[in-house]
Amino acid sequence: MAFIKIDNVGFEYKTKVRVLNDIDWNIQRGEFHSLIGRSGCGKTTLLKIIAGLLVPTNGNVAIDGAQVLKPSFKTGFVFQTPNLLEWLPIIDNVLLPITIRENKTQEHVEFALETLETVGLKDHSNRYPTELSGGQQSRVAIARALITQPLLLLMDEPFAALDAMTREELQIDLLKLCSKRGTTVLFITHDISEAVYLSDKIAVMDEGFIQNRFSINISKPRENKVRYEPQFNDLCSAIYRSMKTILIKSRVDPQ
Amino acid sequence: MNKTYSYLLLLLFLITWELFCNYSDVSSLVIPAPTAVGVVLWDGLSQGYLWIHIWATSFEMALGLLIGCSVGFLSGLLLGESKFLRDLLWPYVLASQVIPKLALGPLFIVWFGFGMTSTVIITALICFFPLLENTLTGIQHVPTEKRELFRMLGATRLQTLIKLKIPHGLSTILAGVRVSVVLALVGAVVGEFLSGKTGLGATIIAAQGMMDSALMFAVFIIITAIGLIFYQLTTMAERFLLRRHSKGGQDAGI
Repeated sequence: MAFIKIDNVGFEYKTKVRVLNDIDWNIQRGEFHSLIGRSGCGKTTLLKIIAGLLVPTNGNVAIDGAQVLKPSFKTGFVFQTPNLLEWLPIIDNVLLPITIRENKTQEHVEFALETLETVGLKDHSNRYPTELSGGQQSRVAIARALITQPLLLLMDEPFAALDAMTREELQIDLLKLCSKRGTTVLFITHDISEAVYLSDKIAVMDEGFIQNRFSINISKPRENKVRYEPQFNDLCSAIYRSMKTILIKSRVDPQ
Repeated sequence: MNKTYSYLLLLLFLITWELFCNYSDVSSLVIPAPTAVGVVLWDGLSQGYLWIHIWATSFEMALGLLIGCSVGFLSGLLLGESKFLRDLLWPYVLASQVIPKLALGPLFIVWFGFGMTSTVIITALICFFPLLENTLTGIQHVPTEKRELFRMLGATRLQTLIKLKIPHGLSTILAGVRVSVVLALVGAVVGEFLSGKTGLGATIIAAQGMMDSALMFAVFIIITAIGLIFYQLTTMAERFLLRRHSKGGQDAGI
């Protein structure tokens, strides 16, 4: 049975504006899926429904067989911005998910330091968010999401504001971390090559529908150089064409 | 701009003033010379008869500030957290703030008698509103993403308030404190005009009775100094508390 089962999910705002239609999607445990689409196509809404932050108008989402009714401790969420609390040192930002639930122990602190080490920021644990660069802040946000050892990681364009080099570094580290821990990931992006590099499966979304699905059959672990191989570029251009076709279709026939 | 020029300007002003008093026909009862004011100020401070008034006014100001700010802060939290209370009480809170508090002074004297209590209550009432309003604004303007983060982590309402809303709104809340500090001094001095037996406001009224304008000027200088000291202390506390917040505070982290 699929780890995440999204069954006929639709969403409508109070104003009756419909942003999601009939979404069916299964994600197997340990897979890395990306959802790609232009701004305003409903990607973030779907992610928030899976996170339990929004309740779907129809259909339902189940994680590990249990219907999602509210946010869960076992789901990590990485936002579009690092979203750190600037009045807390890095270590306390990473420990936030723990300290909300219980008093932190020495073990928690050690695990937080270990997690910071995996994102390369152990030496910065006592500094404050404003003293870190944008890329470093994104790393802290990932460490914070991983501190609870979530089975599922939901990521909403977490690298969109970063420069290309930093973004590549973070993608490489994210892939390593997730495959090491067997974390299932659903990643939202509007960057095609980012999606292809990271994912096992990609869904293309437009106007609240999933329009197309792609399987990325590039073996893992992926070296950075796969980005320059023909197979990679073919996939990118196939996805690009599919998005373009949708765009043209919607212009010719708005229905 | 070099600070020396500011001091030179003051010196120039004082010299002009002194010369004006010496060479014009205006009575020293109306405008005393700076040197005369200086002598009164020095005597008052060195012989000690002004200190009791300084302490009285500072104490009333500090106590009124403490009570007004605490009640304002707590009310701001309550109103910020409960839409029901906000809708219910806001028109009355606003109406109560439009009444000039000083106009209520005579009534407080009827209720609480002459003396410190009335002054402290007037001061507290004046300090209440800026804190209420800034606390309310501060805790309501937390970015959606941060609130979603706390929902994701399963934080309770109280945790969200203490760990997110208050620290995030701190710069706005402290700006309210700064406004309150300035108003508190006005409250304390004018409160003493009405009801004080001791205090700098009462001293001004007493000086008026004796036509001792030099003493009045001396007291103005002391009041200004108290105001500046309180303001500086607040700014220092603010700088300390906000040392980790990025500039602008509101949009930090975005």
